[in-house]
Amino acid sequence: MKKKIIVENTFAEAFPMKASRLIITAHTKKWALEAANSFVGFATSVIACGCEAGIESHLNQNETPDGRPGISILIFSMSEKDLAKQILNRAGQCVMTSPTSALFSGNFSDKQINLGKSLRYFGDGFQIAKKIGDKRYWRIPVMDGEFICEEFAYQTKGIGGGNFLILGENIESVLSAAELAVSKINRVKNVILPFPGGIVRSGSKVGSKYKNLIASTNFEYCPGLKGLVNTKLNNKVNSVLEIVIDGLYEDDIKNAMRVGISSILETKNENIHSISAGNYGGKLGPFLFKLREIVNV
Amino acid sequence: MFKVLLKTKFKIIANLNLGNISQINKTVINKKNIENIDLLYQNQKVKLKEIFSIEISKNNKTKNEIMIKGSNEFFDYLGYSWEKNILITDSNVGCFAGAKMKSGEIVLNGSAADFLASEMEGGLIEVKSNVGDYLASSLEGSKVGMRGGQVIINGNVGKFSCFLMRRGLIIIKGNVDEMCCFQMIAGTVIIFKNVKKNFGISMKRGTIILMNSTVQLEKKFVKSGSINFNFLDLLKNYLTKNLLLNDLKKQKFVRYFGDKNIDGLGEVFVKEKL
Repeated sequence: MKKKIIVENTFAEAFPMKASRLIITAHTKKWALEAANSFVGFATSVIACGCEAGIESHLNQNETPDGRPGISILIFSMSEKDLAKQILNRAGQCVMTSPTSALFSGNFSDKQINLGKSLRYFGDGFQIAKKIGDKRYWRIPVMDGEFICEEFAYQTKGIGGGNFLILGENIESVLSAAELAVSKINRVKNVILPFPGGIVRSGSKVGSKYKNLIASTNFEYCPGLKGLVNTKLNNKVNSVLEIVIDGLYEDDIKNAMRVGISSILETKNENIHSISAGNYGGKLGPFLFKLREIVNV
Repeated sequence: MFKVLLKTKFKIIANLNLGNISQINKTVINKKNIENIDLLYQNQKVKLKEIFSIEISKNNKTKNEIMIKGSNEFFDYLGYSWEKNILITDSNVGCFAGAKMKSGEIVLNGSAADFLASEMEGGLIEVKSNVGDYLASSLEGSKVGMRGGQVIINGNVGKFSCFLMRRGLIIIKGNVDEMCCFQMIAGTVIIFKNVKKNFGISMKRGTIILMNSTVQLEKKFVKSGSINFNFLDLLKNYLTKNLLLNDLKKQKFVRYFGDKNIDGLGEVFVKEKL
């Protein structure tokens, strides 16, 4: 008889963030993806990247403003100022530079973030503003033709830090379970997994013994420190990986967690011991995602 | 919402100033409010009920519809400063139709005389037939023409169209007469058939798309070339989705700059010959 994977009676703790959705299009899907990957590069955690960003979905030609293949990306930051700075810098350095690309906002709100409004100055006076429908675009001359950029992106509310931990006997089983969960969560709209391949191995806790560090390794979940520290891992657990989820709405994160955890539970993999989650005792973040409620165990 | 049918009680044989009909946008729609709107007929103040019979019924739309039956070339200032609602005529109208229009929609099932959409700020005007001179231009004494919105003309257009146009989109499916886009400041104009002399003269900025590949531009326009213009992809997609216009799809264009006599940065896209 196969062993049942335990869902621990705990919760993930998440925080409010500022978010925005952008749509990158290009002549081919390959180049839309190149520009998007460049934009979301070095955006795994607000701890040192300034933002968290990821690819939300691939868009086909009839889903984009200019009828070309596109990629929808979500970007999250802790403050309005950081979000605006990160979007502008990444748009200018990663999207405008990418061949055949164009950049559009993917959401709407009353809080505007300068996009084409600032990037237009790269046109050195040859830039052209165009209002099509209700939206204003900037056409900036570049060496492969022109870079089209919407005048504004828009800031909306988001939630960062939805997560769950996969605890297992060996790295092979845990990694394959995590990969399965990522592949399922990637189909959920309004969420991103900001870490490499959607998976984190260096789960962190707040603070450090070193004064200058704001975060350090979450030693309670490090199997290599069993016996040395007060660990949360039993003798059978030798590997832990985490999946971190940022989303626009609480329900989207719940849904993504449900999809991810359920996919692992369904495998009934004997080498996966349990599913847990990272939190700070419920004292810091206003959003608590209780694992057992989410997967209805 | 409501459908208001205004039917002429007799044949209009002199200028009828209908500018005040736009008050319908700001008042509660009922017979009393509408019949007392002041109009000018033969320079005399008249009540709307003296010219039109009024029928009000409910429609299943999100906007009010005002339908005018029996219109002709004497119907001036129709839809002046029009907002929100839909205005429809069954035939021709006179001058200044849709001038200073802010939003909403005007459908003219006939021709329009001079100054259609002058200083228009937003909304959509569709004309089933021809339009006179000074389409989307500035009104007398003003320095800026059309400032926003969209105009679709299925017929031909007279002289000085798009004079001092500042913003917006105009689609002309027929020919345009002399001095088209004179001193154009910005905006987008798509012309399907021929243009006449002094086309784009003193154009400062803005975009003109010529769908007739046989048009020969005057020397004031400099050929730039045929490259990949993302803007045209965006425009094509917008026209297809919102105005059901597929004509730009799969077309290639050559770009010209002008008017070089005034160092203008206006651009003219001419459809490439196949």
